[in-house]
This record gives sequence, C-alpha cells and structure tokens, in this order.
Amino acid sequence: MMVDSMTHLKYDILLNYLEDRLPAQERSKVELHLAEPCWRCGRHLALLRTVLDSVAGDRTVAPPPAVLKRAVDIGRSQRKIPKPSPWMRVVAALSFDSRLQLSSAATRGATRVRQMLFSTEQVDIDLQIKPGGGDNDLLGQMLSTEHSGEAVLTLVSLQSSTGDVLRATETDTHGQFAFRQVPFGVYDLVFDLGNQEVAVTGLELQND
Amino acid sequence: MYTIHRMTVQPLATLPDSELIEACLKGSGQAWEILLVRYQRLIYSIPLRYGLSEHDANDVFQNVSLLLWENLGRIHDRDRLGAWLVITTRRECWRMMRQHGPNTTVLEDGKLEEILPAGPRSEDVFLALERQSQVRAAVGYLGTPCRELLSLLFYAEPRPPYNEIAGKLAVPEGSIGPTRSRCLDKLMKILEDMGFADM
Repeated sequence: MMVDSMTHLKYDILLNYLEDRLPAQERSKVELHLAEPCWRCGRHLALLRTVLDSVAGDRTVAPPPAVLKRAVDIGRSQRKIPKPSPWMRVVAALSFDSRLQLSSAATRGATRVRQMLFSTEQVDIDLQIKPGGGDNDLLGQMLSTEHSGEAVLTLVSLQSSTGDVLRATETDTHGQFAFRQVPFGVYDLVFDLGNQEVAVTGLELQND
Repeated sequence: MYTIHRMTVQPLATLPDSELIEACLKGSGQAWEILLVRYQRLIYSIPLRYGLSEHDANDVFQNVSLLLWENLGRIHDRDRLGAWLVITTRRECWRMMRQHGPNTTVLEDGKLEEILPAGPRSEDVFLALERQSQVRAAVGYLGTPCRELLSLLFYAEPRPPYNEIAGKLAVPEGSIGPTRSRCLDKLMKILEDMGFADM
C-alpha cells in the first residue's frame, strides 16, 4: 500500500488502522499522512470510528415485521397528512422568587441558590437553581394541587427559547427531577401531563 | 425510485431526514417506509429499555409512528428527527407506564436512573441509540453481497474468521478483503448521504 500526500486513505485502510492490523511501517505512513494534516482523511477516520463505536455498542432490537408493516400502512391508508390537532399548553405563573425577597444588601454573602415556585390550577412546581463553576444545576419537584400534594409523574423537557428540546428526563416517584450542568442561558421547562403541557417559560440561568 | 439531488441521481433510501420528510409531505409512501425502517430500532428499543413488555413495545411503536405521521409538517428541526423521535417515544413510554399504575416495578426509585440516568450522560445514551439505528438501516440499504458481508463482520458475535465468512457466502477466501473494501466504501457513502456525519 502506497500512501503519499497525493492520495487519500481508503476506508479499508483506515479500518485496518483502527483495528491495529497494519504492519508497523504502513501504520507509520498512515499516521504521517493524517498528521500533515489531511482534513479529509481525518474526517473519514472520525466518521469510521463513530460507526465502529455504534456497531460495538449496538443492543438495539428491531420490531417484529408485522408491527413494522402496520406502521408503514399508516402512510398507505391515510394518504393525506392531517392538520395537527390543537395542543393545550398552560404557562405556569410565578408565585415566589427568593431573589425578589431579599434586599441588595442581604444578597451580598447570602446563599446563591435561587428558589422559585410556579403554579397552575392543577400543579405546583418547586424549582431550585444552584450555580456552579460556569453552569447551573436545575432541581425541581412537581406536586398536584388537585390531589393533596401528590407527586406528579411526568416527562420534563428543557427547551431553548425557539422550542428545540435540549434535554429530557422524568420525575421520580416523589415528583422530583434534575438537570445538571446546564449552561447559562434562557430556557423553557415543559412538563407533559398527557392531556396538556405545563410550561415554565423564560427561565434565566445566570452566572451570579 | 430515485430523485434528482445535487445534480446527481441519489436513491431515495439514502436521502437525509429533512428531504425524506419533504418527500413524505408530498405524498411519497416509499419515503414514509424508508423513514420508519431507518428509525425502527431506535423507537422499538426505548420501551424495552424501560422494562416494558414486547406487547407494550409494539403499542408504543405504533403510537409513535402515528404521532410521527400526524406531526411531519410540524417538526421544527427536520435534521434532528432522531431527537424528536427519542422525546416522543419516551413520552409514550411514560403514558404506557401510567396506564399500568403507580405500583409497576419500572417506577421503583432508582430503577430508571440505573437504566437511563438523567443528566448530560443520558443524552449520550439516546444519541448512541439513534446512531446504532441509522448504521443498521444503512447496512440494510446495501446490495445482497455487501449486506451479508458487513452484517457478519460487524454484528456476528463472535466475529467469524474470513474462511468461515467465505464458506457462508460461497466465495473464495481471497476475495473477502477486496469485497470488504468495496462494501465499506459504499456503506460510508450511504451514511454520509444520510447526514450521519453531521449528527
């Protein structure tokens, strides 16, 4: 195998390189070529490595063929894609913010943990923002107001202001959830209650 | 079926998600099937990881597929369809578990945390599932000799030696190396066309 600056490395060579199957001399040539640097081969190497990692860790399961066929038939039986049905989103109201309770003198030296409470007719959402080194931990709990403070089991997503879902988690049996190491910024927290969404919008995580 | 793409003819099966969605919205049933095949393992594996039964996983798969069909025109970031499917599938799993009631074992404290810990690492888990599903789909798009060869090389455990592969494929052992080279090039081209590199 000849590798020089005028040629690029085939994927087959890169695979042998990653699997440590190249003789020492060929391996050195590959490393010299990558170090030139060759951006195309470097990119191909990274892509191949990702593919091999995917393959090595693959424990996915395919659905039974009949299940897949039933899903494919959705597109055959319903020619037109329906208009999306209305989805109710309730914006939770802020009822307490620890930052608003303290005077500016009192905040100097006071705990930097911020406590907030949001409410709708159905739920209360307790939030705690803990600044760290360059980011924040966002901890919370959702309790039902309709059922005597019972924990609410729900999917919680952290979204950007443009609606992109950045992270998602679930509340535990105590209705608690956590997003750790969240970068500074403005976010929406969205809780899926099944028949509606509850949103805490414009949540600002700052570097205090 | 082919579509003109970037002044070359590109098979529908290898189009990136955004273009497949566009084809679906224009009424292509084939594009719809390709989307489902591409992400079938992602959607089906998540309920199983949550400890749901195969029967429930079948229902979750059908529900998510129906939601995808109904919301194709509303997906905000079409190049991140995998992420949308992860969120939607997890939501459907939650609804399924709610139907089972609060005493189901999958809701025991810490159990979900062990399976899929919340926080930055859990997103890596779902990204890995997404990639695994896409690679499997891409291998499936290859022609018969390449699909069989790469399936044996990548997914058979333990990986069989070349002489055994040659026997299974009824080809000379000396042809395995060059064939692997050709098939690997095809696979990587398919993955790049699908947008795998940009994830």
